[in-house]
Parts: sequence; structure tokens; C-alpha cells
Amino acid sequence: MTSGVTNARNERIFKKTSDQISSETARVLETLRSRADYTREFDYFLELAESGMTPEAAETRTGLTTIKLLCVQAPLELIHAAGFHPFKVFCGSNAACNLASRGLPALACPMLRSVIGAAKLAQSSSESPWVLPTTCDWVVKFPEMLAISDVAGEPDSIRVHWLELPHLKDRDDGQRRWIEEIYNFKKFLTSDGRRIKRAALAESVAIYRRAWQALVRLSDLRREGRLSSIWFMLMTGVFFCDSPQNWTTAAERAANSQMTPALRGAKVFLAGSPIFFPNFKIPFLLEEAGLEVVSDDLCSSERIFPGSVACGDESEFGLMSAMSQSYHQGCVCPTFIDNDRRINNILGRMKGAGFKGVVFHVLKGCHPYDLESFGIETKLKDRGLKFIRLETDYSGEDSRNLNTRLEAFRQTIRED
Amino acid sequence: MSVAVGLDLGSTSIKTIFVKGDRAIWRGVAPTAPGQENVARSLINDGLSACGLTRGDISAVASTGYGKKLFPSADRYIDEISANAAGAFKMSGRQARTIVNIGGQDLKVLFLGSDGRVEDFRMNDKCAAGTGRFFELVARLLDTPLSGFDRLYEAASGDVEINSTCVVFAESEIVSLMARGIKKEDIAGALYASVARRIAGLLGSSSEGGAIYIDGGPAQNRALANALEDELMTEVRVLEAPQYTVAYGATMMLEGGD
Amino acid sequence: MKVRNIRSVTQHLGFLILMYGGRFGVRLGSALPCFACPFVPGCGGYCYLMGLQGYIGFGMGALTGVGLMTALSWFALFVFLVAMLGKLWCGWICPFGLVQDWLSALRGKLGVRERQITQRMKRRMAMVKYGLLAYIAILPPLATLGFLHEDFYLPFCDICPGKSLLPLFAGETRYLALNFDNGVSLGFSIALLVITGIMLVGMFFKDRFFCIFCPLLALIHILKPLTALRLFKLPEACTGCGTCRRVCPMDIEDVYRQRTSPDVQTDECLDCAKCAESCPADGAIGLKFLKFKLFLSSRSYAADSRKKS
Repeated sequence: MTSGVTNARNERIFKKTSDQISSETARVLETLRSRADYTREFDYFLELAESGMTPEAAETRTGLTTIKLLCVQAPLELIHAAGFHPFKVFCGSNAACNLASRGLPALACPMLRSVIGAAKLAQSSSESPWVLPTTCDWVVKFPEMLAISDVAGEPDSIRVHWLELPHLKDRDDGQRRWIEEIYNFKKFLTSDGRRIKRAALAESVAIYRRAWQALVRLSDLRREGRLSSIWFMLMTGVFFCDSPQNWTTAAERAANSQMTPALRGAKVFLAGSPIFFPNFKIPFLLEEAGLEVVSDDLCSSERIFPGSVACGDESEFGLMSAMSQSYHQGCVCPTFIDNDRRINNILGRMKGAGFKGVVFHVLKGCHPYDLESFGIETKLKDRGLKFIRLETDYSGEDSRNLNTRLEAFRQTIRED
Repeated sequence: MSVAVGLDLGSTSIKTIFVKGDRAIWRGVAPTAPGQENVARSLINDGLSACGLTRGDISAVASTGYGKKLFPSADRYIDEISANAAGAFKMSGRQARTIVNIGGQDLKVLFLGSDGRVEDFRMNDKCAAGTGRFFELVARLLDTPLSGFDRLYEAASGDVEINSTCVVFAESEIVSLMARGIKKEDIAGALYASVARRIAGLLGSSSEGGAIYIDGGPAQNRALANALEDELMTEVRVLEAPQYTVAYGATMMLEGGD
Repeated sequence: MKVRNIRSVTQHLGFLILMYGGRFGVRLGSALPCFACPFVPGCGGYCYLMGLQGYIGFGMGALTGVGLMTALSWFALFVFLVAMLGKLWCGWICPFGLVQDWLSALRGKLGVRERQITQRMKRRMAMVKYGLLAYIAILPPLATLGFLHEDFYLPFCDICPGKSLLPLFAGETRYLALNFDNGVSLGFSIALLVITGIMLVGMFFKDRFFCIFCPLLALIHILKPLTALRLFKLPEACTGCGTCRRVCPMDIEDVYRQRTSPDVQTDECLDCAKCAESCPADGAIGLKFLKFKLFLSSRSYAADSRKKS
């Protein structure tokens, strides 16, 4: 009897949340479609966003079993070469986040809460395994959070393959252990008897290289002010929803098309915690305040995959080690201990584009980014650059407060 | 005769100032209520009739504050931080380098360069601790109008502390202090000390030398400046008509501009 | 045109001119800072190491008739060539370097893994080239002065795999045969065969294996203060991705490790600039001639220039 009532109640809550998610998505999509700089070339990306950004949808689209990922350290090329579709699970829905909030620590990462909320709603959850690199504490505890939230039974009933991430990336022993992890990962991927041939690996490397080339072209267009950051973030945001080849083709088509120039504003670099569709609160607020993001280092955007699997050695081992290194050493995730060179990426990107402000987005509960922002602030200010930290979550209640700050920030970086 | 009108549509109250040259000739305030535009219009009309002016005498209207866009006929919209900086810099005789603004719902710290431009600023996020709301709440609890707080503060012993930085928790803390028979004066003292701590936290270690200037509605009480002086061990000056600095600054930014 | 294409063109041109140029009247002299092997019939110029051992260098050519001024002039030319192009001679011109690159390409085609040499081991091996320089400085004078058999006159050439392998491209196989003239020549020809065998294996399994030991590289490095052409790094632009180290044929770590100084022109560096080409950080690695920047890394370039498989 009681459980019947609970179920009925849950059903109502789920129904309401689903509706909220749909309307969140619809609202953002409508805003995007009605923008002055919308062109038909963006339709592919809008449609991907519209048709549900879930591993199930990606499975239908690619015809491949997905491997569900969090973070950006699992080599996509290896997964692809094994005949799976790598899908980085993310969610930017505030409603989904709220749904999962009950029963989870108040400061739990909003992104993971949102993912868990979405998983709660999913009727038929994909059976595909999770591959989780041990980046931050929230990711490490993710299966436990899934269990607490009744998405899964016991934490060990969830199929997870861990990639134990050596947090010292600059040291040879750290890199050795990581390569070992990648070989273990290969074993995991091939546990059903399938094989990963060198040629397949080389082909996957080439496929993602082409995707990266397209990504770099888009980021160059953004830097030149010919592509709005909002569109750039949409395009990178849906990267995992389709095969990398299809995405690349669409991205190349968009890059080749005559785009309406982006809305011009004061140029800034966006750093910090990732931003996921449909939670485009920060990008919209930045635009509203007259700030134009011309480069970023978000793992949801420019850093969505490292793309630089370059090596002198084309053998299988050469590819494997090049891959593992670019996903490890090449990553500037703040969960690394020796991450002091991250600032150089920001400075390097700024130098080329001649802008002088950094907006640092901290998702509440994202402690590594929060902590690292202080050191970066000092270093940037020492160089006479302007810095603003925006600590926020998925809810829109602080929009006016953020707007006030951003407008004032724009004044501080305005050209005389 | 041409006057510039500064409108500051804040979260708690709407401030209006008439400025001729760089001198304020009229000031008016009204609580924020639905239909801000009408409230602002009637404030402007009040000012016009008080000064014996007509609508045609208004050269331009600058709108600032959270609700600045709610006054659609303004000639210019200015973000409140820049407006605050401009106003405080002018009012302080180009002396201010560090400004603390205590608003209805937020707390801002501004750092200015020697040319009066905002070098850096900080702002509280979602929390209303230390803001005007906090004072209003305590005034209600102590059943004393805010204007009487200066007198209470002077008589405070300084032995009582409010530890909560959260407005909501501070409320229950104050209630329990009252239940223990602690005097109003001591509670007021504790209140100011707690707000001063909060401001000091926002200021961090980066306040440069020189006096700190405070403005915003709650700064009208000298007690806050005194408490802040005790906390920071630096001179704290209250700007003249502190509630209107932002509106005044907005008019300063009418000429020139983006 | 991409840097790697230009490099390939200069390498092949270098190979053609230095290996076959003599047949068309090209004579580039005896002071070339690369393996333009004099034992190749019809070559277009001579490797300076030969002259250095013989008639214009430590072989006391100056004392035995050629004249001090002539020796010094050749030396001056060598220094000039090094000062102008630095190690471009190694990465962009040297015919033996190209032969090694062919072997690496073959290994790549076969999908054979490149063997790793630990950094520590490599540092030890790299000392050999300075040993060889000393060997070149000591033995020829002793031979000239009669303390050693006269066949010690070109002691480096006699063990140089360039001498055994490069002439093959001109159809000359005789340096792979044993030389029974006398004990010394037999000893040298056996040593050359053994070294050639080891080097062939080494060069197949490891990029530019011979360059680790090359005394000419050591000599060019000693002249580093005079060189106008340099590889440089702006450490404040480096994001530490490690790509430079991965693509380096010499597996040099210093470019990756360097965090303070712009000087990354280490003794093993060949100035091939592969690191700069593939560096995805804007303005982190470059090649310069004096103050003039010839190339500067950028993400766009790195993305664009990646090989298409």
C-alpha cells in the first residue's frame, strides 16, 4: 500500500521533472534558433541537442554499443578502435539536478547530480559499462552516489571500469602507470574476445585527428570573431551524440559556410568548470553583459578531447603510448597535482588574440577548480590582466547578481 | 536650466537624484515596489515640483541598479559598480581607493585606481548576510528603528557576539540572546561587529593603504563605520548622503561613455 | 607548404647533391658539416671529419706540406657553415640522416615498435661522441708522427658506418669487404663490419640511432655559441602536453622539461623542428635565425599539419 503511494508520488515527481527538462531544452533551443547569427549549418547540432543527449540516443544513431564516460582522460581512439562508441555522459539540466539533490550531499557536484537525476528518469537505462578515471572526489564516489540515489543497487552492481589516474603527470613513473592503465583498459574493452588491430587503432587516431582539426578550425573562427561562443559550445557539447565522422563533416561544413559574424563584445577567456547544454546560463549572461568569449579551457568545450595524438612511432605500442600520454600529460584538469602549466594555455591563447580578461567559472562544489582559481587569479593579476570568479550552480536565481558583476567587469576591461 | 537625473533602482529602494553641474540639488527615495517604472516616475515628478522645474529641464536620465532596465526611457544604463565607483570617487574628492557598498541585498567592495577607474571588485554571492536586509530584520526583532541604532551601538559593552553569518540563523541567535535577557544595546553591538567581520572577509588582505569609504543605505548609521574601524584598524569614512552615491555616480557617467 | 615537406625536399636535395653532385661537376669542398662521404664515388663534397683527421686537421696536414693557412681556411669555412645553418646540417641536409629516416619509415610501415632507450642510458651513450672526437684528435697525429701504423691515418672513417653504407647508393660495395692488406686494415674492416651491423639494427629499431654517437654532431655543438640558427622555447607558453618529446627522433626530454630558459638547443638536438611543428601550444617552440623567427608553433598549424593516414 505504502509503496504504491510512493510510486504514484514518484511518478508525479518524475513526470514534472521530465516536463521541466523538456521545457529547459526547448527554451534554449528556441533562443538559439532565433538568434541573428543562426545559419542552416547549425541545424545538425541543434537536432542532436533536441533529440536527447543520452547514451541510448547515441547508440541508436551510431549503431554501436556505447561506453559511458565521465571526464576526458579515457582515450576515445582506443574505444572507437574496439568498435564501441565513446559517450561522455553529461547533463546541464537544473530540473534533473534538483531531482537528484534529495539524499545527496548539499555540495555534491551539480553536473553529477544532474547526470544522476537524468539517470533516475531514464526508463531503460543502457546496460553499457561506465569507464571512470579517478579524477575528483565526486567522480570517485559517483557509483556510490548512483546507489544512494536508487539508480542502481549496490555500488558494485554498476558495471564500472576504473582508470586509476596518476595525479602526478610530469613524472615518468606516473606515465608508466598510466600506460599500464590504458593497456588494462584495452584488456577490458577486448574481454569479449574482440581484437583491436594496429590498423584500426591508426584509423581511429586519424578519425579523431580530423575531428580535432575541425575543432581547431572552429576555435580559430571563434577567435577571429566569426563564430559566437554559444554556437561553439553547442557544437562541442553534442560531440558525443553522433559518430565522430558525422560530427566532423558537419563541423567542417559549418566552418566552410558563410557565417554571420558573432555579436561583438569585449574579448575574454573563459576558464574553469565545464558548462553543459542546456545550462547555457553563463554563456548567455556573458553575452548579455557585452563579453565575448574567444577562447576557453573548459573540458566541455575546447578541451573536450586532446586531439594531439602525435607520435614518431607508428607501431601499436607507439600509438598506445602516444594516446595515453596525450590524454594524461596533455590534460590540464585541476585534479592533477603538477598542473602549474595550465596557466600557460590561458596566457598563450590570450596573447594571440590580444584580450585581457579572464572569466573563471566555478561550479559550486567543484573544489579543484575553485582552489586553482586563486593561484591563477594572482598570476594573471601580476601580469596586469583582469580576472573575475563566478561561483554558481545550475539554478538561475543568481542571474541578476552575476549580471551586475559581469557588466562591471566589462567596464574594467574596456579599451580606453 | 538643465539637470541630470540619476536613478538607482535597487532591490530595496529606488533612489533618485537631481544633479546640476556636479552638485546634487534634490534627492528622493521610495521603497521598491511592483511597477518600478511608475515609482521612479513619481519620484522624478516629486523632484521636479520641489525644484520648480519642468520635464524639459531634464537633460538626461541615467539608470542604474538591479532594475535599471525597468526604466525604459532612460538615456543611458550604467552598471551599479561603475556608477558607485564614479560617485564615490567624486564625492571623496578623488581620494577613495577602496569603497565598501552595503546594499539592500548585496555587499560590494570596489578597488579603484588613481584615475577613479575600477581596478577590481568583489561581491557577495547568493548570501544576504551583512546587507541592508540583515539590518532591517534586526531592527524588527529589537523593535527599534534603524535610525536609533547609532545610540544603541554607543552603549554596547562589546561582550556579546553573534556568530552566525547567515541572516536566517542570526535571527534565531538573536532571539535566543533576547530570551537570555541580553540588552538591546549589546545585541546591536554584536550585530555591527558581525557585519564588520563579514565585510572584512570580503575585503580580504588586499585593501591598500588609505581610508576606506563606505556608502549604501546602511552606511547612514555612523555605528557601522565605527565597527568597521574597530575590525579593520583603518580609518573608515562615510560618504555624504551614502544612499545616493550610486545614483549620483550614474549622472557623472552620462557624458562620455561607451 | 608545410615544414615537413620543406624538410623532406632539402633532405632529398642534400642527398642528391652530396651523393651524386660530383658527377655533374659539383665540388662543395672538404669542410661540410654533414656526412657527405668522400668514399662515395662521384660525391659532391667532403665531410669535414675526413679532412679533420687528414690533411687539413689533426693529421697535421699543416705541418706536412698543405700549409697552416689552407688548414685554417677550411676550418674557417667549416665554422662559417656551422654558424649559418647550425644543426640544420643534421636534420635537414645530412644524407646519412636521410638514410636513417628511411629505415625508420620502413619500421613504421612494418608496424614494428620503436625501442626505447632510457634517458640515463642515452646520456651515457651520448658521451661516446665526445670520445670519438678525442679519438679523432689523438690517433691521426700519432700516425703522422710515426708512433702508429700509417693505416691509423683515418681512424674514424675506418669505423664509420657512413663509409660502408653510403657508397652502396653509388654501387660501391667494396667497403663492406674485409681488407687483408695488413693487420691494421683487417682489424679496421672487421670493426667496420661489426659496427655497421650493430648500427643497421640500431637504426632500424630506433630513430636516428647513429646520431647519438656522431662526432660531427658533437663538434657542431661545441660551436653552438657561434651558431645563428637555434631551436628555442617560450616556457611561459608551454602547456606540458609532452608532444615535443614524443615526436623527437632523438627522444630529447629537455624541450619538454624546460620551464625557465628559452635555450633548448641541446647537444643531441638535430634542429629537425619536428617538435615545433607538432606543438599545439601557441608560440611555445620555434626556430630562429639570430633574432628572426623562422617558425613558431601554433595550435592551428599543429592541427593542420598532422599527417593524414
